[in-house]
Amino acid sequence: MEIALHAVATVLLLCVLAGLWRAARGPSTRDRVTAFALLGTTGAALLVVLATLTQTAALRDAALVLVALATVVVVVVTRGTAER
Amino acid sequence: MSPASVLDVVLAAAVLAVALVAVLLPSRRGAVSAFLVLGVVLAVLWARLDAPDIALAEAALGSGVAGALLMDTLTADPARPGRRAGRTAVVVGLLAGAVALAALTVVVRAVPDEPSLLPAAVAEEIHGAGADHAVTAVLLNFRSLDTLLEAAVLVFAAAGAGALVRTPVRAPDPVPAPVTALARVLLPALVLLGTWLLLAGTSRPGGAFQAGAMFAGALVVAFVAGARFAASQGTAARAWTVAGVLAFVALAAGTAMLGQGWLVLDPRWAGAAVLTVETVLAVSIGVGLAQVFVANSEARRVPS
Amino acid sequence: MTAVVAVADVLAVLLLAAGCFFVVAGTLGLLRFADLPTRLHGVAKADNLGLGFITAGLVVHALAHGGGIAGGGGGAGGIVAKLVLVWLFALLGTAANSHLLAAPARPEPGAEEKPEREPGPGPGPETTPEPEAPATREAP
Repeated sequence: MEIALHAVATVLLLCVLAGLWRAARGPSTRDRVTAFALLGTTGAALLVVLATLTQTAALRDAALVLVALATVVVVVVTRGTAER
Repeated sequence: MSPASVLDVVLAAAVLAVALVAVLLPSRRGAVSAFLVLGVVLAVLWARLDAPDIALAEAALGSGVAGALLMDTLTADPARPGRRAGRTAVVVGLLAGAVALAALTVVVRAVPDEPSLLPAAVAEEIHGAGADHAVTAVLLNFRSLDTLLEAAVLVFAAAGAGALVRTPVRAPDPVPAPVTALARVLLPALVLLGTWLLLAGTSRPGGAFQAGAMFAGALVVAFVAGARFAASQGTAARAWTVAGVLAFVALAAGTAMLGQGWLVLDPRWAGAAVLTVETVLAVSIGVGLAQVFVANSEARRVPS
Repeated sequence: MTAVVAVADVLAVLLLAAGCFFVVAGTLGLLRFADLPTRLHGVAKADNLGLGFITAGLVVHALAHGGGIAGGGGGAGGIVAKLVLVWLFALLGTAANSHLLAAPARPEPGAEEKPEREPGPGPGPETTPEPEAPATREAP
């Protein structure tokens, strides 16, 4: 089971790295933010997997925080671009 | 290689790669996006290093609040062509990097191999410290002066940002319906989450700064959804921004005059004092961070 | 290890694998799809199903192995509740995010871009960015 959880974490981490390409390249700000939203969720998945792996309950809180605040970032950004 | 070390190697490489991309990208928006991704990866790194407190703080402040602030500034800023760094900048950057690396190496090598005595000292004193969680006990009792000064930094930042705005509260722009609907769900959820983190801080990772970040997120969502109270730059907002530091100073003065000395908490009421100060501090941090966001957002709208 | 736990472990691994599949697929979609709406489509799958299957796998794991949290939590119940909460937040966030991010791509009054079926030399779906991205490559 531990091996499986480690493998899942590694795969998710590689997904985060891959998503960086879209965040860095764009082309539009909305593409970057789409990438950030996905990476926030993937990061949350990574944190809950690590929480089970290391039996640290606080990491599930961190995942909640990450998911909730990633949504805040998206709301803020779409307001900014909708104005112009 | 064991699966655990594969994960650790990939994670370390990922942190370096994301950091390099964030520094080297000529496009400003790309660099900021990469910086936000760095926040996510760093949170995972702290989690992996068995430091859930810092992972929580990094997720809340590093990628959440900082992300909202940076992204908001960027989207208002007209897109400009990316500029590659000049030769001087590259040389200076490389030099600074080399110096920082050398200094870090010296510092890391100076760390003694034997385990520090501090965890044992904290474990000895934690009964009667007012919090069962070691990090909270250190932050709000053993080294509370540091936390007091950190809270003061935020007050100065909020005051500085607020000084840039002289406009009265303006009527909110028409808000898209999904934003209003989302705010109605997200606002109470964020407040609840912040309260949970605040209360959890006494017995497990959590505490005033993480809770404050949640409250700031709630206020930012309310501001974006056009709520008047969140757009306020008035007396109430300023009072709340200062309240955390004032509560802390009041506690310090009280213990100095009536108790055993500056910020020395009596075990009998340490728990109540720590939780009270933390609560005021969390709201204060939340309002302060939101003030920085609102001021930043309003200041750049003034010229147009 | 009892048989029930073994079966639960197999189930958890299967669920985790399914979650990984959807996250990988969504990330590939984010990288390979041609324009923003299709990218959002891919990302939504990773957010909803990917995270959903992964949390489901972890829920099964928690139910089979119990809490075991330092500090004496409430056993598996608290873990399960928190995991479900993470997923519900992600569901809410993804739905709202996709809606907000896709808004300018719809032909609505006030949307600055034309729909992509523009005849002639109109902007294609890939060429609706801020002027920054092309300029980046040409900058000295």
